[in-house]
Amino acid sequence: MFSTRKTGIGIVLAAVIGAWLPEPGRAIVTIVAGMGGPTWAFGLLVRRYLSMNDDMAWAVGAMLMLATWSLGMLLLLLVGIHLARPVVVMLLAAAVLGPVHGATRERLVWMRAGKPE
Amino acid sequence: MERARVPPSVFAPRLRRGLRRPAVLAIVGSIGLGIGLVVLAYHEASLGQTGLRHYHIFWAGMWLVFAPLIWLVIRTDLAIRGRLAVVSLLGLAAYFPRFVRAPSMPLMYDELGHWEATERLFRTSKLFQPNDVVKMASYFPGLHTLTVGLRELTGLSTVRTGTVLVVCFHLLTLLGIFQIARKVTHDDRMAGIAAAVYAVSPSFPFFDGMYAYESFAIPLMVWSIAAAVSAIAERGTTRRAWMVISGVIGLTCVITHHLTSYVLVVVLGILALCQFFSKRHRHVAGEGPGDIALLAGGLGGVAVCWAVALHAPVITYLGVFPQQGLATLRQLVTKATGGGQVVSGGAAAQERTALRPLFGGSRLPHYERLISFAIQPALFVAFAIGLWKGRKTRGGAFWTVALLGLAYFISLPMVLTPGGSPGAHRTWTYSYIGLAVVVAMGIGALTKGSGKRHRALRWIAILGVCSVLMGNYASAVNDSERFPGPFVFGSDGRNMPTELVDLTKWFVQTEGRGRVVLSDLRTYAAFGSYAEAKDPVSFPGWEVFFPVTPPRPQIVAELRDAGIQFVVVDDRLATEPPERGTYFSSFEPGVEEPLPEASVSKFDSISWLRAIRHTEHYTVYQVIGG
Repeated sequence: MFSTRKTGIGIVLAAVIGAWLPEPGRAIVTIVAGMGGPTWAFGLLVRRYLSMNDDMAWAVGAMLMLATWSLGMLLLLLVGIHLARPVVVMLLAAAVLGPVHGATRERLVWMRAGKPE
Repeated sequence: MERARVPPSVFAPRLRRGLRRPAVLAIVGSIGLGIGLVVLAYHEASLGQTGLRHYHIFWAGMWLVFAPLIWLVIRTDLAIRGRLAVVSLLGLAAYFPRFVRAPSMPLMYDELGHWEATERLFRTSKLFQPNDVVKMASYFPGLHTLTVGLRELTGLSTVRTGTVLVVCFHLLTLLGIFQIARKVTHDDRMAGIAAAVYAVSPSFPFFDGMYAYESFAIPLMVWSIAAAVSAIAERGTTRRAWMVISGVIGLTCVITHHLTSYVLVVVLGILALCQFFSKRHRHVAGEGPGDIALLAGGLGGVAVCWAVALHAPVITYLGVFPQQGLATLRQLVTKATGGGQVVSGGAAAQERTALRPLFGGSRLPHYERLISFAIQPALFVAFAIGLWKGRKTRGGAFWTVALLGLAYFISLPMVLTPGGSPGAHRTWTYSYIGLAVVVAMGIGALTKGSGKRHRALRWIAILGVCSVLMGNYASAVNDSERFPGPFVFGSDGRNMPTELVDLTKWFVQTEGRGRVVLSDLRTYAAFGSYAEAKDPVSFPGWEVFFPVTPPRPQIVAELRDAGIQFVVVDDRLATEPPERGTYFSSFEPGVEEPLPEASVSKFDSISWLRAIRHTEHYTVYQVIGG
């Protein structure tokens, strides 16, 4: 099986390739990667930090996915960035890889035991 | 002799083995047949039937879809995954008629405005562009930024992307209600029932099924509350994480919709207060409600800053509802106490506060109307039982949803007046969140056991919830909105014929976008969205359209000052009264309906107008020198 990080990278790669595929391949691949990817990644984060072990974690993940697309695009447009495929693919990569990193990183021992001298 | 302790009856233990194959087949068959009947009803309606046959087919289909799903949430001892799947299916079932109504084009007035805003944002990448169809939409672009991001990625059209998003909003709203109810009741079964009750609420199937900012704001509000309610039972990192989630989702709500974000702030404030009093009264250990109050204050501050920074005319826009509500309340009190005349601002205001007959001129079947009255006492009884059951054991979250639910019953008398009715209908989207949770506690308590009486009560509850669906459709979705059919002048849903859409496309090709167009409200919606035509807001259009003679020179001068370049006339102004009661806005003077023939024919004899396009019903005039 693939590790969580590799799966995250795989989703982003699928979106990158899918975004330049002809229709209807583009729509199918990118809608799954663009909405499913961040939902899965945020869901993992929720499962880890909120100790939410049932499927409701994916619903929280989906809400965070929608919020990220909405707020993220707002911020990009506010700073004057024009809509383009590379821009939205970058945002998607951040929305998938960021939460995956948060969900899979090791907790540092000194954070619990105190920082070593 | 010591009495043996009888263990509490385990509810329907055989169900723990899961559903039997015949039951699964019956459910799948019923839902499949129901979907087929709903589609058939829409097909029948699109043929222009004048009878009520399509209504009967529609309701047969809806009952066949909803009854088994409600049976599942009420009766079976499903695992959490199965329960969530049923709740998701309820979300899809609630959205299905709205999808079939217009699967490939924006239809309703608000939808047209938001579709135009998204199209323009996609084309220009510029935020806060003026939107003359839904004026507030330009200040709250949360839905539009979400759509353009996904549209750019997927290559789908705005309508297709919007459809996918509205499906998500429907599922997530019900799952959010499930989460709130689960935290309040600590019972997955009651949480499922609460989601089912919200799925049959008045606004959820149609109004919140539109591609409009409110449809996105509702799941955001529900989940922001759900996260705050979830935080109450937690401590430390988990509590902080829930608060962060509530804040991020609440922030998205602030940039998405004005009213919903203000209601969210108020609900979070009430939650903090109720939690404070509940904790003090019950001497419960744990963290205080300070962080929830801080969250409410923070979101409130951001909402105010957002509106002030963008100069959004929120107070002017939303102020109309409380004004009319108060006038209505005065009217009702005066009537109840046998008082005399109502003191109101003006003739129009008085007219709007006068009591109105419910379903006046409605084309809905009698049984729908009857049920819309019958469900109110039934809901009240279930609400009262839920309130009674939870009064001692529940904390601040319970009292918050109880207050929210109570607001529904308080708003009911407002429906009796034309002025108060739109405001009351708007509040139901929010008050039903609380109502659904408390009613679910009532239904859950009544149907919990395994005896004969409880089994009978379960069937009554299934019938009851399906009846609530029917009654709420009657009170919130009129004939024109619900079904396709012949053109209805001044309606929302049957005023966008192909003839008009083609005319706007011709207009864009020959005259370009962004021209100033004077027309009646519904015709303008098509020009405003498809041709991005500007609305001469300050100009009173009725001064040109209502008289039977050409307008006075003073009006012509005003028209030129307003920069009006085109006038579009629909000849049905003289044959049909507007279904929604107004030609231009609620400020227009009262007038004979429909307008006299001469009001429409006079445009051909006006010297400063030149007809540049005639279709079967529409004429486009260019203002000479305009």
